[in-house]
Amino acid sequence: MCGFLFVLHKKNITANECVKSLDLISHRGPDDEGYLVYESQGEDIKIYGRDNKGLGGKDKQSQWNLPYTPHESIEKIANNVLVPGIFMGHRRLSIIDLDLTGHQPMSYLEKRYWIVFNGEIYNYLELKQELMAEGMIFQSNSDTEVIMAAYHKWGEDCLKRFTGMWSFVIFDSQEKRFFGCRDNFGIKPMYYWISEGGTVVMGSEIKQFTAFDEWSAIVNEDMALDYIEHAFLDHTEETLFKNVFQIKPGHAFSFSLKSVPKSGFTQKHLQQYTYRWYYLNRGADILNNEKLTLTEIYQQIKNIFVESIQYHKISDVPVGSALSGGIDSSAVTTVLSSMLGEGEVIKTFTSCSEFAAYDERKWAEEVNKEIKSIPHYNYPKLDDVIENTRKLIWFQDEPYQSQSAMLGYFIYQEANRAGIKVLLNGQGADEYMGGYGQWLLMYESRMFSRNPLKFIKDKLKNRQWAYLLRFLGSKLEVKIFLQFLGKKKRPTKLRVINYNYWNSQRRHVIDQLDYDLNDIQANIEFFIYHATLPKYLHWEDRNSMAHSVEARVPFLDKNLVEYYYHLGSDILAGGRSNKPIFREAVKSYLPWTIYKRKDKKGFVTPEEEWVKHVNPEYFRSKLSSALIVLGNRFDKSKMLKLFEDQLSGSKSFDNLYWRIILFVEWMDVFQVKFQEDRK
Amino acid sequence: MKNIYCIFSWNEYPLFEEYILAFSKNMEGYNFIISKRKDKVGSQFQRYFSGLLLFFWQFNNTPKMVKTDFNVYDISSRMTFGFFNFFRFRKRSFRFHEKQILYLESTGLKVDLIHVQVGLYGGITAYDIKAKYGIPYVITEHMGDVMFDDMISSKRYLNEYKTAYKNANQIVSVSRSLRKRINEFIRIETGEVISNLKNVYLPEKIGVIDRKPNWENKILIFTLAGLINDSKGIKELTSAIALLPDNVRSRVHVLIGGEGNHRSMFEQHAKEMGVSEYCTWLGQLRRMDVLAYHRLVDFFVLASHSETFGMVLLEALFAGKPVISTFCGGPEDIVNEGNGLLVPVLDIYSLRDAINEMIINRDKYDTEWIANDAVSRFSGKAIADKYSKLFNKILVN
Repeated sequence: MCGFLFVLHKKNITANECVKSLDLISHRGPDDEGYLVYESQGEDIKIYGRDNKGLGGKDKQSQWNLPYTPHESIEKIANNVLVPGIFMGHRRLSIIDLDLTGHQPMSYLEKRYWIVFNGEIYNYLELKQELMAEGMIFQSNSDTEVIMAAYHKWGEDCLKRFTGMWSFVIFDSQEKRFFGCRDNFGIKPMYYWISEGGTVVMGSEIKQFTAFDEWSAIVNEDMALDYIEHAFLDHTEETLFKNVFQIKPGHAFSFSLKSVPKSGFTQKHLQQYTYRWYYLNRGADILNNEKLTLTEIYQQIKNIFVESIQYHKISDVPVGSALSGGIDSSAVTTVLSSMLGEGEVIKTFTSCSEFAAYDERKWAEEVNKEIKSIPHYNYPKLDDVIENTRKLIWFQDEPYQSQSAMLGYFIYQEANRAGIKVLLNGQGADEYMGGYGQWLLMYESRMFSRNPLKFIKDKLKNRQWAYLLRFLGSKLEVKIFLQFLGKKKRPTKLRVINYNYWNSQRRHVIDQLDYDLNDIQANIEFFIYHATLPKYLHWEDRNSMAHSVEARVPFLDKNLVEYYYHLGSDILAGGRSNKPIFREAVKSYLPWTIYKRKDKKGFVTPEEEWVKHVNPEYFRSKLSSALIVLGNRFDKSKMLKLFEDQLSGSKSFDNLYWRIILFVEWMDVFQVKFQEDRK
Repeated sequence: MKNIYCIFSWNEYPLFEEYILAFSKNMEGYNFIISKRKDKVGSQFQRYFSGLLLFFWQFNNTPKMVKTDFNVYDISSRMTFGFFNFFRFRKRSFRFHEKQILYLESTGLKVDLIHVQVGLYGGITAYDIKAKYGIPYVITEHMGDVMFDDMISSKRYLNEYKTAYKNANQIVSVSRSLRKRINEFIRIETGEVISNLKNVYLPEKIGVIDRKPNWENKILIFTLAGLINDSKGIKELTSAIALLPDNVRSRVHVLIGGEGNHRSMFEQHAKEMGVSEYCTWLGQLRRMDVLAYHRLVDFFVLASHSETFGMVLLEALFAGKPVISTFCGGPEDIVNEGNGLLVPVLDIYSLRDAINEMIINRDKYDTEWIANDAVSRFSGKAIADKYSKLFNKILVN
């Protein structure tokens, strides 16, 4: 994991701005740094390091001297105004190929291609073999070089061959062409901002843009309402910052220098050059149109999952596992453990709670008992949360939706202290395995409404009497779920927002996204690309990078996701337990208690306890201050009344109050203003 | 012989007729049966009475088939309905075409594959037919953004539309940018890109256009819009002309074909830019005059903001004339180093530079090469060959 910067500028900027931009993400890459300057008129490429870091011919770097070895320090030109061209910069966290041949920006093929890359290509060795057989030559042991070679060989189609997580930008200095992309599911981030002067800046984190003189931070009020009202962020390409966007998951852009307008790049131009390269329907042949038995399906899923863990453990540095005690992280941990060599142990990291109702330690202990592990149990307290809120907002770039984000932050902190640089986790499974029980309920509702008598008869025939009673009684749950998605109005909440004072026409984000949620495949796609996974990946990336730890997500192996995608709703919705198919597939790895475990806690904090019982005054005071800052945009008295009702239990508890508090904190941390406040 | 049933979603689309013509002349072993709506009824009448008409015709319509060529049949009929309210009459459309297909079977022309011109409405009816009879279907899509974004407001109808796409045996997009758009619409990766075609052997009538006195000794630039509006880039073109150096601008003259509500606004803009004397507004042109202008001028400019394909470029290229276009979708698949230049959308400086470059270097463009290149890539035969492979593959499977 690393961080990068790519700037395409027509107006003059200084090297200093670019270097500062990368310094802001030094936590993403403490091991190495590098810079490239290209002047479009002279067609000259110059590369730089920084004093005693990444420079060839000095101290420990003296044994390497490759075409991309820098010999000058960027400090020499820091105050120089750069003439129109491009700037590429990189901060490296060394995970694979620890020596300096993995330095970036890296070049390939006689300095024709240059790349800045963040992520891992797990199948790089197989690809390298294939490319070498075609006569291609390599200078390093890194996956970075393989990307450029693959691009040279297969063009933009190379993406379809990669297994891993990535975001990168390649500059082809011969064709004067740029190619950049994000991986299939958006595990690695890529943001861009286009200044009023037409300068395009792309980077791994939004905070990088604040280093530029032209930067001004304005609230995107459409997204602000999506966040406050519906708890949605990362569900579209927009961010909370106006004029800052992200390249969407599974998307790429490609354009030549010729297609860059002389009058200045705009978002419309970049959108035109951006396309979606990855679709889930790829891999439709997995099931080969055969009628497989369930046993065969379990075996295939197990094989794919084990292979995914095999890939995700590839590292030249120590690897650990985030373990909650749920089925997902337990499966990751136990399978990883089974691959350990003689004498090796795995370090596990678990977030626990002083409140029994929220504590999963006993489940994690069940797993740790069965494997060779060194467990680490972390007990975040409210004081820790309060102390780190602003820091976390800074790392996250945007406010987060619940205090669960904080748990991950502490886990990675613990991992870093324990000397772990790579941590595997169970993120991503729920989105396509039906981990959120409600989508099964929606499917069942559809079956019921198609033919109620048949539905009831089938359930009775299968002796699912209790389930049937619960289902009929809980049809209401579907409405609640739709409310959760923002489909239905929640009158109490709407009344606290004064929409007239917001510069936004958007109200119901789900309607905008146009998915038929009754279709299982559309549902999977919706959760992966909009509803839940994008924000969780955002949290994972930022939390892990805050502590210079690489987070890996074995459940987001494309083969596994595509396999599930094509299983069909009859198989996917076939059971009452959580993730029944996966549970059976990995049964042989799981402790019996975990296999049998029926409840699902999710990664939740004892937020309600903290707010209601530990320190309500803190939250009351913060909310009140936040509402003052937001002025007429909220009905302050109604919102405070709602909060008091939630504290007393007369209204159901949720974290709208927390989103308001965080939103205002975020505005303060990043000095963001509303559009009219700028005038 | 394999029988291809061709559904015309629109009642008037000469291009799809050219497709059938090209296929019939170049694809062996196929019969083509054309089914389109013959009536040119006013749209008001269609909308108000379409339900009644359909109701009447579904019972009383007896298919009538005419053989128009040795392997082309026409079974077009008066069946019609408002394009915009198709979804309400989906079942009637299905029954109508079902009747035609069963009739064809009774005459010995059992339908093996359905080829549909655009997804709405034909694709949906083809899907219904496939669902009942298992007949595979191919959609040739060349509708652009307007189709997906604006015309269907109901989510239910959108889903029906997407279902028809997803179940097609193949969706052929006429450009890579359109394929990208369709893929994003249905969230599935589809396969083929096959360009639109232009038949070269049609004996087209070409008009005669004389150079007007104020065009003498000028480098003539032609641009054309079916409907002059904001998205056609007319404003950018006149602005780019205004930016040319004086000594260059004095040598050029721009011929602007097309009509529309915005024409007067753009004329005013040209006047404000000080380039009125360098422009002639030709208004709506007959086809024969368009062809004549292509032959008269030095090069063609298309400054659109978005084009699904860019048919006007083909016409210029077939006349051997180089082109300048924007990177706006379809043109990227047409323009190459040998026949023209591409510039970013909405970039009047790049457009100015491209015009300047073409004026200076217009001799490097070889008329014969341009025309031959266009024919080799976009002629009826070239496109028919691709469709032949596609149809064979589907029918074999």
